[in-house]
Amino acid sequence: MTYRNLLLPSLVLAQALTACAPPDPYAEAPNILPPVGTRASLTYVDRDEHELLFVLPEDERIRLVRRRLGDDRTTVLWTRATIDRDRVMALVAPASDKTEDIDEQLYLFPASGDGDPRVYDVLAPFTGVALSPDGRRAVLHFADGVGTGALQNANQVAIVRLDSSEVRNLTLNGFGGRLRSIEFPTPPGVVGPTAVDVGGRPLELVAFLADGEVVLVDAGNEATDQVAVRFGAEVGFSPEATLLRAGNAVFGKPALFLRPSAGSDVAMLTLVDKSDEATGEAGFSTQVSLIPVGEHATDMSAYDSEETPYLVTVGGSAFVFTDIRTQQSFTVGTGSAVQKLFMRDAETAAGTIRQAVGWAPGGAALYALDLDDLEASIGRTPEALAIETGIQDLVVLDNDRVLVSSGINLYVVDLPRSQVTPLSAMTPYDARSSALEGNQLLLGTPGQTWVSTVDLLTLNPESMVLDDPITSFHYLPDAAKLVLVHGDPVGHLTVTDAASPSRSTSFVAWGYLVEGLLDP
Amino acid sequence: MTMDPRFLAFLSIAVGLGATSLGCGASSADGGYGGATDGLSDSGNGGPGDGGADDGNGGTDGEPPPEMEDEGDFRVPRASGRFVYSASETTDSVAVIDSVTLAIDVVGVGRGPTVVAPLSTEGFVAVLDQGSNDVAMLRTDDQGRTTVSIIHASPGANNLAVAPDGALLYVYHDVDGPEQQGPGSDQELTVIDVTTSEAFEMTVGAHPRDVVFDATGSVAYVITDDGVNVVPSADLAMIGKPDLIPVVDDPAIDPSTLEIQVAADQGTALARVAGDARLFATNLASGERFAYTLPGPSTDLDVSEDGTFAIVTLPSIAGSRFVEVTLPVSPGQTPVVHDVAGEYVGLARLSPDGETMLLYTTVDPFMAAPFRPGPAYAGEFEPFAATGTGTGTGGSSSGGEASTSGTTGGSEGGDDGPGSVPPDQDPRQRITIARRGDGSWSERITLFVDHPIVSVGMAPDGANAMLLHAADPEQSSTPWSYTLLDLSKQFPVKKLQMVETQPRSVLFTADSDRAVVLLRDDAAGVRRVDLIDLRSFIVDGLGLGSPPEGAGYVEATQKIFVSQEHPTGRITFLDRDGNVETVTGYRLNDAVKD
Repeated sequence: MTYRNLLLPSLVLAQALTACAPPDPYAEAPNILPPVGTRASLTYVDRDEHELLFVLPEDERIRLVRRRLGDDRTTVLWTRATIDRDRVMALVAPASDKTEDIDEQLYLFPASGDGDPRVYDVLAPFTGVALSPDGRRAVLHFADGVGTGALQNANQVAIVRLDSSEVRNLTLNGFGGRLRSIEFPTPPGVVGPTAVDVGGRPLELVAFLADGEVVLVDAGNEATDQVAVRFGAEVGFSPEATLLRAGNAVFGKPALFLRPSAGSDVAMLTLVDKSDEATGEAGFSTQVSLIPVGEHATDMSAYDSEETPYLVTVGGSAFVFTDIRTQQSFTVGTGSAVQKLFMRDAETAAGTIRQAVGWAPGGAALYALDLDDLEASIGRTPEALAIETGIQDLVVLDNDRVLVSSGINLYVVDLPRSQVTPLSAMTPYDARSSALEGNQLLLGTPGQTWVSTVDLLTLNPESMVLDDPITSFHYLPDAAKLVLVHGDPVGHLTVTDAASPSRSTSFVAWGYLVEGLLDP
Repeated sequence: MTMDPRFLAFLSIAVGLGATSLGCGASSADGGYGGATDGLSDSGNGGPGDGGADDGNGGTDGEPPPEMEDEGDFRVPRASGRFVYSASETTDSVAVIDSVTLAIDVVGVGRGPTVVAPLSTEGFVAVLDQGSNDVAMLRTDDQGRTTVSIIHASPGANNLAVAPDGALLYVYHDVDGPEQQGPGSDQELTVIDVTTSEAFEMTVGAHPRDVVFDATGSVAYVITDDGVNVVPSADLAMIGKPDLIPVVDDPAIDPSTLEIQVAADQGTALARVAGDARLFATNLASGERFAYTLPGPSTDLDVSEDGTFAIVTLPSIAGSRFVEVTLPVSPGQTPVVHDVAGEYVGLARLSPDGETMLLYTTVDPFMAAPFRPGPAYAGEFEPFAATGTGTGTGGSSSGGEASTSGTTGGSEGGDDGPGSVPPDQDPRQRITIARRGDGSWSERITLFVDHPIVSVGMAPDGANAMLLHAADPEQSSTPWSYTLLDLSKQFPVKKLQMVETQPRSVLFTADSDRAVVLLRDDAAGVRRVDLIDLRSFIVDGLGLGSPPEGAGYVEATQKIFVSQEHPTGRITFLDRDGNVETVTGYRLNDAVKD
């Protein structure tokens, strides 16, 4: 038989096999969004099957829970864990602009996958979400991207109350600046609830930062008018970050500070009650002033001495302390750049004091400055904690410890002991891809084939070798497990004990994304 | 007293703030007893009638440096009650700042608000909206809430004058103001009855310069180039063209050579002519005018704050004189001439109580010659003798005495003075303190100061004075200076304070305890206010975040405020205890939508 004679029957057979065989799961990758880690599970969105897949690691296996999410006429735009990682959000929108009878909806599932989801009508295919630190609210917005619709209102947002079914759809009543970011201003060190007392009423402030302006919304009271402040072209002030200071005995007026993207001023928006005396209708407004802080501030915090309310900023090579009442300021030099700032409590012989810690990406030291008796600190110099190979990134682990990544080095800095411990590796660690389990620091950097632990008491590092490189690192505290996801379209992960990662307590799961695919 | 154009800024601070500032005499701003206007101040470019510094002496050197005009679009804020009102011409709004809490309220007004005039001491001001030709009346309650009402006013107005009781507001075009008159006329003036908001329009003489009131506010005098308009408050509804009273005997005299002062409570206008020995006193009720021929050309005319006498200064290198004219003038009255032998004094500064006077000059008359002459040539080079501008006619227009007689020596006529000025001394570095005593002004002391004087100011209580000096080029780092002078001592204590830039503005607080000097040099980065304790002469310098523009005083809270040049507005408050509070960006409150 000639080659030509053999070809025709082969093609016929191939066509027949193709027509009769089930779909090949490997023919193309499943349309599955990257996993979201919660406290108890990994959550995948299977866009083909319109399902939310919960991967729940147990001691020696994983358990899968599938929940229906939309149908053939919808698609899931994104998923995100809530701030407490107890639940997972998914925004469902029409799959096609031709579909006109389906509204966008936000689904809120428990992390376990059990129970009914809470569903919110949010009116628009929002591309971003901002979460309040107290975990009570999510604000859906278009961020800098565009949605799936032909025309979007860039300043349309939906404020979702995550502990109820309340959703508030609104358009920001500003001056036309495009929304850039959303903040839930909180006093330093405060997680929630995000409310500040203004005129005897709680104000749950959400700040919408836009080009040259800010719009403030009372998330807790739909009847309260929005307040917008425009800074104008002549000032060149575009807000970038917020800081809320509640009124107290030192300075009674609550104030919102806005740090700009450029310029040497920080805006102080004093929050004042503007409730209608006749109707009792709640309202608020703001009085604007600018506080000169010397060089451009790249980070800020607040600190009260016994008598003086300070705005603390960094940006040059000094801590700048500005009395927000008088706008008088003084600096405490560091000798080199400080661009980031955090506050912590420090134990001294005299008791607990506040301490400011400054650092800069690319810098070679952390600078810790005791804030007790600050007014008498003339000549005081911050304590420098050298990072020999320079700071690439810094993660605050807890009040006493920070983790610094620096190329192939990691540094654990114990602030009370002024101890800097270098940890060397073969490849760079990502300090952000880490977690803390008690005194155990867990590290799993994407691309690496091992997961590491550092006992923060002994500073003894150990590593567990994996069979495949890490794609994403997830710490599931409720399951006391670490989950290392590997790159495979059908699902591949390694589960190990968070308390003591080791191969002996680990297991691997594979193919779970297509499990049941061939089931009738 | 001749008004130095450099002190326009000082005037703007002093008006209505209950504080006084350097460089102005008994102006309407100081309580309405004496009205001052000065035709000499607006030419400003040398020659006869030049603004102040050479006082018509024809000096070609010793000119003070020109006024540094305020370039900001905010004029100096004003206080009423505990509130400071700051107008923003660009945003058509007024920021109301509570000097206690620093709370800010921004209220919309008409277009182009510029001048703020307090109408009471309880949070009530008028704001001139130059862009829309109206006046916004702002009333702030104790809670800090401000209400606005708008009243139409004459087009082109650029200044406000308030009657002492705050009942009447005059809206007019001040020919010495920063704006030039556009199409139309500067002779239209609006009077607003503050209580009823009723507006009365009228036409006055050409180029109004000032409006002054008697103590009760029953009569206003509008000083113009044509003379003085008399406006009885009771007749406002009926006056369309108030009576114009000429104040010199020759209407052809160039008004820019005139200095006119009105002693409002005496109903008398005094006028002197630059480079001329004549002095005119006019009864503004009857029109009766008295002309006196002085011993020489005058360079300054001051009226005491209580309006009971006036001082005319007659400088000469042959020895100077000053003349006291008792007010109101009456037929047969003779002004009294006092000699100041051996001194060249062209300017006088009277204390508020009229009991102390500072005599000084801002020019070096010898610099008018190509070389400093020897003593033998003093008379020959006496500048007024050389110019020959004195008329020497001695005529009177309405029966007043043609000449005067001295009480302490000296002679009549003019060019043979009481005692020559040594040509080897710079008269700008001397200041004579004279005390009136029994009226003889015989208690005098002359002090040497390190640097030439360019201006003199006095605290409201007259106990302290401040002398501003010309730059000393030999002091490269601190060429400028000012001297604090304690006038309460028999032998005055003086303190020289060196500064790195020219003092821009000075303010004395109403209680006379403190003063501030604003210092600004943008090129050198100097932005400071010197806070002076007048009880100890201790000076504390306070660095400012932005260049200072002007200063004011909130009497209700005893806080000094310093407004600064900042695109969104910046103001710093200084309290009695030295505490400093600053508000920046208050203009941004206009862009709050709530």
